Amino acid sequence: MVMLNTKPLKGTVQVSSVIPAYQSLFNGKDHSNDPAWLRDVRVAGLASFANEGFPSIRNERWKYTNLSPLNAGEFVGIEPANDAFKIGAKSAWAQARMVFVNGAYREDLSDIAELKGQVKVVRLHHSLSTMKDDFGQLLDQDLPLVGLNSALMQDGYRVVVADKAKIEGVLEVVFANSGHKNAVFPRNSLKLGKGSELTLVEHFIGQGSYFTNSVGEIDILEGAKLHHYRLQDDDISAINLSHSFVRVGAEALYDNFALSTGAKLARNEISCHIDGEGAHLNLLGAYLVSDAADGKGQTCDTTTFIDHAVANTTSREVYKGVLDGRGYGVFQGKILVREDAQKIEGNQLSRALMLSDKAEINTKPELEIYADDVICSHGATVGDLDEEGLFYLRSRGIPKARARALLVKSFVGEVLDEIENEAIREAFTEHTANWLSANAEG
Amino acid sequence: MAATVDTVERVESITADKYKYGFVTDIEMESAPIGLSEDTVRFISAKKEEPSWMLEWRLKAYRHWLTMKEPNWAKIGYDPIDYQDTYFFAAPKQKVAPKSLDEVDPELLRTYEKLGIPLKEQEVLAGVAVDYVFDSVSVATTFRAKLEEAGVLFMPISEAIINHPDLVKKYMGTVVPTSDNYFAALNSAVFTDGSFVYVPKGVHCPMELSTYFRINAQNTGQFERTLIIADDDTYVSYLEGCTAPMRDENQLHAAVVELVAHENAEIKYSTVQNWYPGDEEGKGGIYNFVTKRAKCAGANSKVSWTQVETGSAVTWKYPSCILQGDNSQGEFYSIAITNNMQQADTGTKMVHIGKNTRSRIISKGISAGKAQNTYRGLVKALPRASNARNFTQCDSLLIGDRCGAHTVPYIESSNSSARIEHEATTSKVSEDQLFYCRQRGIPEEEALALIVNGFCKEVLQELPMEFAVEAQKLVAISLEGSVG
Repeated sequence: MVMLNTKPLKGTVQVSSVIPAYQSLFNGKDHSNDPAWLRDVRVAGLASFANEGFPSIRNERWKYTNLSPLNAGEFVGIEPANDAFKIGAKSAWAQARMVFVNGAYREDLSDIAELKGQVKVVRLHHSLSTMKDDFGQLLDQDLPLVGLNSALMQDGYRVVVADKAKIEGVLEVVFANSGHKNAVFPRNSLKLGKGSELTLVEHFIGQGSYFTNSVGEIDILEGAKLHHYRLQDDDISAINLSHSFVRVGAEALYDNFALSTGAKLARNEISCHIDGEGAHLNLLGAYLVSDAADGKGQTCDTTTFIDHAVANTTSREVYKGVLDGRGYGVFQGKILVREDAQKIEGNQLSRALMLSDKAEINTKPELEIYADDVICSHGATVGDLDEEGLFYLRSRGIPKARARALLVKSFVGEVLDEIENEAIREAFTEHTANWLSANAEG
Repeated sequence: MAATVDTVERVESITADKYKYGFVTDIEMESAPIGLSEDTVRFISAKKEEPSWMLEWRLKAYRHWLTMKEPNWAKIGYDPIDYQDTYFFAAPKQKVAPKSLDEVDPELLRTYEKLGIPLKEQEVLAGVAVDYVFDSVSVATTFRAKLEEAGVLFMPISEAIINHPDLVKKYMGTVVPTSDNYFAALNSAVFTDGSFVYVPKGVHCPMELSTYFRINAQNTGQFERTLIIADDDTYVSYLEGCTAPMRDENQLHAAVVELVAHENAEIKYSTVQNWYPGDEEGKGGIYNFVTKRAKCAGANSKVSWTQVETGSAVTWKYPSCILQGDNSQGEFYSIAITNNMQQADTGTKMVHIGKNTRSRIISKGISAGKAQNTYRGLVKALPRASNARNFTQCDSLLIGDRCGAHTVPYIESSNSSARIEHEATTSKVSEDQLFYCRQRGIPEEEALALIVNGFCKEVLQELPMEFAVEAQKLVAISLEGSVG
C-alpha cells in the first residue's frame, strides 16, 4: 500500500477526488512481477502525479487546454476489449500491424511477420524486465501526466531496429479503445540503431468516452532516419493526451507528421532533444476540429518543444489547423537554442483557418535563443478564407460551397503534400477529404 | 556635409559621452520614513494635501497589494526587493511653489542645464511645454498659459487631484484598475506625482507635451502616475524621456500610465528610457516595472505607443491598447536594447473588442554582452471583433555569443473574420554589412552602431523629431563595448 503526500504545488488548483481515484487504481493492481527498479519508477511516477494532479490552466504549459473534464470525470475504468467495436483489416499501406485494444495487446489482430529486415517488434510488456537501462531515460518523469503513465502503464510497442537496417514496409500500430470512462496508459519505446531507417504509423481509433494517456520514448541514433506518422481519429467523446520524447543523434533525421481529427479533448505533445551535429527535424501536421459529441467544441492542442542542444542542427515546423463549428485549436511551439549551439536554423510556421464564428484558436510560438550565429523564425497566421481566392473561383462559376471546399482542401493540402511516403500521403489526404465533406462543406 | 561624415562625427561625440547623465545633484530632501505601511500611504497623501477620497483610494489599493504576490512569470531575475528598506517619498524642499523660473532653486536649473535642456532655451526654441518631475514633485511648469488658452489641461497629477477632482475621479483607475497587478497596486497606493493631461473636445493640442523624469534621491522609489484623456475629436502627442544619475543601489521604479481616447481622438505617446543600467557586472541599476495601458474607448480613436528602451537593469513593461471602440487603432513601435547584464521583458497587448479594429506591432530587440532580451506580446480578438486586423513583426538581433534573445507572442482569436499575422526572426549582425563598413574605414564599433540604427529605422522614424536624434545616440551609447 503506497500512501502519498498530496501537497499542492504553487499555481495549481488542488482537486481532491481524482488523485485518490488513481492511487487506488494503482494499489488495486498486482505489481509483484515487476522488478524492483520498475516498482520504484512507478511509485515515483504516482508521486509526481499526486503532487499536482491534472495540470490546471494556471500552469503555463497548460494555459490554453483545460483538463477539467478529467477532474470531473474519474476516468478509471479498466474494461476488457469490447468486441462490439470491430477492428477492420490491416490498412492497405501497412506491411505489418500491432493492435492494442483497451490497452491490451491482441495477438489475433496483429501481424508482424511481413516486416522484413533486422527489426525486433515486441510488446513492451514482455521486455520490461530487461529494459532497465533503456526505460524512462528520455522523458521527464516530473510531469504529472508522464508520472501517471509510469505508474499505471502496462503495455505498448517496443521496436528496436538493428544498426544499418533499412526496414522495408510500414509498421502500423493501432490503439483501439472503447467503453465508458475507461482509462488506458500505453507506453511505447522505439530505438533506431546507427544508420537504420524505419517508417511507423500510430493509429488511434475508438468508440466511447475513454481516456488515453500515452507516453513514448524515441531514440534515433547516429545517421538513422525515422518517418513517424500519426493519425488520431479517436471517438469525438474521447480524451487523448499523448507525449513523445525524442532524442535525435548526429546526422539523424526525425520526420514526423501528425494528422488529428478525433477526440473531444486531445493534446499531442512532442519534445525533441537534438543531440548530435548534422541532425534534422521535421515536425509537420494538420488538425481539423468541429463540434464534439456533447455539443461543445472539440479541443485539439499541438505542443512542441525543440531543443537545439548542439551546433549545426536544423529544424522545421509547419502546422495547419482548420476550425469549424465550436472547434478549439491550440498551438504552442517552443524552440530553444542553447549557448554555443551555433549555426542553427530553426523555422516554424503555424496557420489556422477559422470557418466558424464559434471557433477559437490560441497560438503561442516561442523562441528562446542563447547563441548568436543562428537563423530562427516563426510565423503565425489566423484568419478566415481568402476573399479574393473565393471571388476568383466564384467568378468562374464555381458555387460558393464548392469554392470554399476547394480552398480549404488546398490550405491543408500544402502540408499534406510534404508527407514523404506516397501511400500514407494518399491515405491521410483521403482522411482529410472525408472529414471536410462531413464537416466543413455546405 | 556628406551623411557619412556627419555620422562619423556624431558617433565620435557619443564615445565621449558614455553616460553623461551620471551625476547626483545635492538638494535637501524631505523624505517619508523608510519602509511601507498604511502610515507611509497616509504620509504621502497628507504631504500632497489630498482630499480624503484620494486617501481612501490609496488605502484600498494598499490593502489589496498586501494580498498580492510579486509576479515571477517574466524572463527576468533580480534580488528580492525589500519594500521595508525603500523610501517611498522624497520631495525637493521648497517653501513656496515657484510662479516663474526665477523662483526655481538654481541648483535644479543647473541640473537641467547638464541634461542639455535649459528651460529658457526650450521655451523659445522647441515650443515644448515641459512638466519636470524632479524626484516625484513637479517643480516647474512652462507654457501653461499657452496651453490654457487652447483649453488643454497639462499639470502635475497632484494638482489635478485638487483642482480637477471630477476628471480624476472619473478616469483614474478605469484603464489600469488598482488591483490590476502587483506593481500597479503598489503604485496606486504610493504614487507621488506624474502628469495629467486633458484635451477638451475638438482641440488639436498646439504643441508636443513633454515630461522629463529624473530619479535623484538615494533609495527612493519613483512612482509616477500619468493620466491622459483625449476627448472627442482631439489630438495630443506626449513625450516622456528619462535619465538618471549613476549609483550603486538598485532603485525601484513602478509607474502607471493610463490613456483614454474618446471618439475620433488620437494620442501619440513616445518614450525614451535611459535610466542607469548598472555597471558591467550588473551591479546597481534601475528596476523598471511599468504598467502602461490605453483604452481606445470611442469609435475611430487611435493610440500609438513608441518606445526606445535602452536603460534600466531590469525592465518589465507592456504598453497595451484596449481597442474597444469600433474602427479604433492601436500601434506599438519598440526598440529594446540590452547590453552587459541588462534584462528586459517587454512587449505589448492588443485586445480587439470592437468591430474593424486594427493594430500594428513592430518590435526590435537587440541583445549584447550577457544581456537577456525578451519580447512578450498578446494579440487577442474577442468574438465581437469582426474584421479585426493585426500585423506583428518582432525581430531580434544578437551581438555576441553570451546574450539571449527570446520571443513569446500569444495569439488568441475567437472571431473567424479576424485576421492576425505574426512574424518573428532572430539572427546576428550580418558579417557582410560589417565588412562593408570596415572596408570603408569605419571602426567596428561605429559600424555596429550604424547597422543597428538601420535595423531600428522603422521604429526610430515614428519618434517625434526632438527625440529621434537623441534616440539614435542612445542606441549607439547602449552598445558600447559590445564588440571587439
